[in-house]
Amino acid sequence: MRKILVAEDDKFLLNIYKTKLTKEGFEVVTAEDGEEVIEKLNDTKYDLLILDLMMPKKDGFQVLEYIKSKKILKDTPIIIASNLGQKEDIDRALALGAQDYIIKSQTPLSELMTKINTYL
Amino acid sequence: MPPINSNEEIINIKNKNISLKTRLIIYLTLAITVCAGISIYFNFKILYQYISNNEIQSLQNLIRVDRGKIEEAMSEASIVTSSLAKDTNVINFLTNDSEYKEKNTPEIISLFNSYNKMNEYLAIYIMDTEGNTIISTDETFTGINFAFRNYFKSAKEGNTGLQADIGIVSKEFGYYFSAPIKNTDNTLIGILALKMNPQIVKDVLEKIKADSEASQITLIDNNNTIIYTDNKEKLFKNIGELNENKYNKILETKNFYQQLTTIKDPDNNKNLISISKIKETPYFIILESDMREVFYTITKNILNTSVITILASMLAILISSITVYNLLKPLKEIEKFAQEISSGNFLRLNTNRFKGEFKDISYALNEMSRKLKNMYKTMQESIEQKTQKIAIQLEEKQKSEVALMNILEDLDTQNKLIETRSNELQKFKMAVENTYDHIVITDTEGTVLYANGSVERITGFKKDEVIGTKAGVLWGKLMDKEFYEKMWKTIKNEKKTFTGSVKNHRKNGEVYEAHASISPVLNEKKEVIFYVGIERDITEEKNIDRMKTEFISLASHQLRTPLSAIRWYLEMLLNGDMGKLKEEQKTLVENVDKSNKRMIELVDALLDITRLESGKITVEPKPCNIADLLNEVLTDIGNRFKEKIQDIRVNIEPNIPITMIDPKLIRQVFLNLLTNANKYTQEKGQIEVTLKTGSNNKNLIFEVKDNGYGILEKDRAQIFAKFYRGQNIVKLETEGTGLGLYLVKIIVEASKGTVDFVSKENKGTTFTITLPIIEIVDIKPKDIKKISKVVKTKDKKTTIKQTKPKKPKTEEKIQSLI
Repeated sequence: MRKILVAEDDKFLLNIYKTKLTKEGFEVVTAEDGEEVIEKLNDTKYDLLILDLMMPKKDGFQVLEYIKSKKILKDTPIIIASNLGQKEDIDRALALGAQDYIIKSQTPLSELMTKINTYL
Repeated sequence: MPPINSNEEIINIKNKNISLKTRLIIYLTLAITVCAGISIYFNFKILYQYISNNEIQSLQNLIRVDRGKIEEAMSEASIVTSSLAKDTNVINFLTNDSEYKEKNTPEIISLFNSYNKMNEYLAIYIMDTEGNTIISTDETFTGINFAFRNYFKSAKEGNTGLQADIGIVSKEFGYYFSAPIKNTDNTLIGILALKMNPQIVKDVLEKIKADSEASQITLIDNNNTIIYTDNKEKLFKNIGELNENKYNKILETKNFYQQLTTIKDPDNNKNLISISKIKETPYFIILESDMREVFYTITKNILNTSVITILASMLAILISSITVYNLLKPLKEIEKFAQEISSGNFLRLNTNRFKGEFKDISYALNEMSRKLKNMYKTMQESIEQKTQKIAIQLEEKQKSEVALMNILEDLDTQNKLIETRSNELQKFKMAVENTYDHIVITDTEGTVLYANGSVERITGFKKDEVIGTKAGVLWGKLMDKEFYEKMWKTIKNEKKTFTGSVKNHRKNGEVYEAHASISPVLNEKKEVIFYVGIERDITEEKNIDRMKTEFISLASHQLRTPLSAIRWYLEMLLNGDMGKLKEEQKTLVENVDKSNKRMIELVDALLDITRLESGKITVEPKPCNIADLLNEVLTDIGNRFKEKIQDIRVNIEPNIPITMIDPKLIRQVFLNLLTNANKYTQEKGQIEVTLKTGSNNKNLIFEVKDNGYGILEKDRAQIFAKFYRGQNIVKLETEGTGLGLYLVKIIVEASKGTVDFVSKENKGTTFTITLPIIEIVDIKPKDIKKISKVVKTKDKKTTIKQTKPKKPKTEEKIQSLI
């Protein structure tokens, strides 16, 4: 079973990820803040990471910087799912090693699923 | 040539020349005379000194020798007196009775006479202790009492005595010697006295006088009484009484020099006075010798030699005068030559006639003459020219003086005016100095000439630091090159005021934002004479603005999260993830979904505006077929025109090139302009849309022309302002935000294009947008990669939107809100 780590601080969205991805046949592990993400990434290997940018404790950019500096998740694709949609945010995230970037409010869930399937 | 002056000079030279010769001779004569005089004087002095010394020497020798004779005689007389006083016969004679005395008298007389063989003594006699003469070789003495005599008194006291005096019996002068006679028990028994013949002394003194050719010889005793002199009247008088001045001098010398000395007569320098003590006696010889004879002899000799000296001097004077005359002779000729030259006759000297230095001078003078000749010529010419010039200048000067007088009069009236104006200027200056805005005045090169007080307050740089530097060098340079280029182009080339927001930094490095306006100040010829730059620090306002924007941005973002959660829940429901929905339920959820999506779009639009306003507009250009984009928009809102039964004509030029634009933003522009045309044109109105390339193929031109309500003239200036709505429009429609045209302008300008319009009230408006055609080649490969990734997402989104037919309606509603 493919293991996906989802980082999201909004409980409703987290619920959606859990329900939908489980339904799609993935094992879902969740993290609600940046530090938890790093903790969980260090524990286990994941097949994919869905990462929010605006999170408590450590934001998505910091998490990306950590991943980049520790050179972990070499083969694990990262999809940024955020509501920040400015060009500089997108550029920065991609530069820090994210494979894809979606603006949650502008992207249908189905599209995200398609993306996940493409990367796995 | 100034003739008057040169004549004067000649006269001067002449005077000097004559006096030079004379003076030389006078000087020489004087010098020789003075030398001769000095020589004569010293000759005399030395000779006189020598001769007078000689004279004194011989005089003294003479005195010394002859004085001895007196000393000898006196000494002998003294010895005789003493010996006789000690003679036993004499003592016996005195100690025995009168009988014995009578009996032995002849013996004693013969004893006495035995001592007086030469008859040197006038008398030898014995006195008893009472002074009565008992026995004497001169019988006239016998029985006479001499107790009153000094020589008796001194002998009675036991001493020997000597006294020069005149005898009371004989009335003859003589030298009285005395000695006490004592018996064996040393008691005084009588006095022995001896009167010496003065002739001995007189002979010697007369001899001295004769030998020394002296004028006067005197003998004095130690009481300064004259005891011998030629002049009988002076005898026995005190020398001090005779001539006080002279004898005081003698007396001083006498007391001081005990032996022999010669002094000058204080009354008559030419006389010498020799004072000599006679040994063993209280007497002094005073010899006064007349030196006139000597002086006369000397003078005579000197005169003889002086005559020779004077003659030699005169000869020397004559020779030197002749020499001087000869030496200065050429000067005469040079003088003549100079006179000739001064009268304008430029001669040449015959140099052969001169010798030595005068020859050199004659050459130099000839050269001078030649040069002067040339100079004179050229000078005369130039003088003529200059005279003419001066005449002209004089005339001009007179004219200008008149003009100056007029100006001065004008100035007087103007001065008062200036005073009033300078007061006004002072007030104006104070106003500028103290104004809140930062004001800088520069020259045409941008160098700061003036900075007001606020410059320091805003930039932190002191006035002194600012003045003299290029404006903005200290605080500027934060803006890109294009900004400054545009600024200079505006103020320098177009000579217009430039305004804009600028970021500068303060002295402490702090960045501040300012609204700047720079205006050229032109002179009458429309040339820039200086620039005035005014800046207002708007950092605080900007900060507040930024905080506001950030707040909106954050708020919008926070809105997006729940909206996206709703969107995804609804999607899951519709997808049947939670079990298949009934048809009725599905329609309901779909409606919720639609509303939610509209909400999302609204929030997105709000976010866009805040970003645009904060200057963070993100133009994301990508290759785009702008004609297709326009068609899409037209399709999306086509219904709106149909609803108002408006006649819409679309002219799209075929083969519009693909260009780099941000389709999302340009789409907004098209949408806003078209919806405006639709909204602000009455039903059945006409709308014409044109898209074409510009005449030079570098621009794209988009035009929307309507025959609607138009823009009122008073609104035209502000029509692009945020929230501004035309006054005629507000009356017709309450909806609308006043943001549509504002967004259009921001987007077009951010895309380096322009927006313009022509309007007439109730006749319609035409908006024209010009966008530059940017070829795709311009993008870097890296940019394409990044963009394509994002594009991928958005393309899909677009595809989805396009597949949904109801989408345009949503956009319509958004636009109406804007």
